[in-house]
Amino acid sequence: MGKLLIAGVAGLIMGLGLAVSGMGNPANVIGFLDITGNWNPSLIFVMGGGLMVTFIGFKWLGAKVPTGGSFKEVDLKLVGGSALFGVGWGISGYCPGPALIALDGGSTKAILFFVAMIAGIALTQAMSHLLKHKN
Amino acid sequence: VPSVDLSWLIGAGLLVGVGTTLANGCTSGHGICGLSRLSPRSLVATLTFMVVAIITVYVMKGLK
Repeated sequence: MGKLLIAGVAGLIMGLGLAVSGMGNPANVIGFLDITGNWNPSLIFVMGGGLMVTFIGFKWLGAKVPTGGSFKEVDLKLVGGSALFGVGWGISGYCPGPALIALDGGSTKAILFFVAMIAGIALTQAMSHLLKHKN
Repeated sequence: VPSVDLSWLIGAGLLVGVGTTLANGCTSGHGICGLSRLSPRSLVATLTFMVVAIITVYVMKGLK
């Protein structure tokens, strides 16, 4: 099987999972993050279910999956980037995958978010490219 | 249903794009794939964006 076909099938399954589980609806995500308010814990099962399947799948693949790493590899880029992502996720209820599948509804909000996200990705890549070549 | 201004939404999109690129991963990359292969970097990333997002939702509620 070609890599393209595998990527297509994997994308199809992931998109289906995100759509069926309600992860594409930002209200569900904000409800999940709103632990001090009207908490909606349903996404625990989405995360937990996804983790379980992936964990077993990775074990099955064995040596093909890179393992290890250490806490020494944690740097400011990782923590700072994750924090920025957390702010954007908390404001909008969209993370990259669900933002993609939300596009199918054609809502202005989803499209605006998506375009801004792509701009953020491109900007960061351009900046890091510039910085790399300066040094 | 969360109703945020469109300008907030654009800001949030930029933050998600910049943040996930800097951190090399998001909820899928770090939260599912990274945790599944027991990566310490992914554990730190996942805890960071979860906690920050929870605080952000709390702060946003206060702003409305």
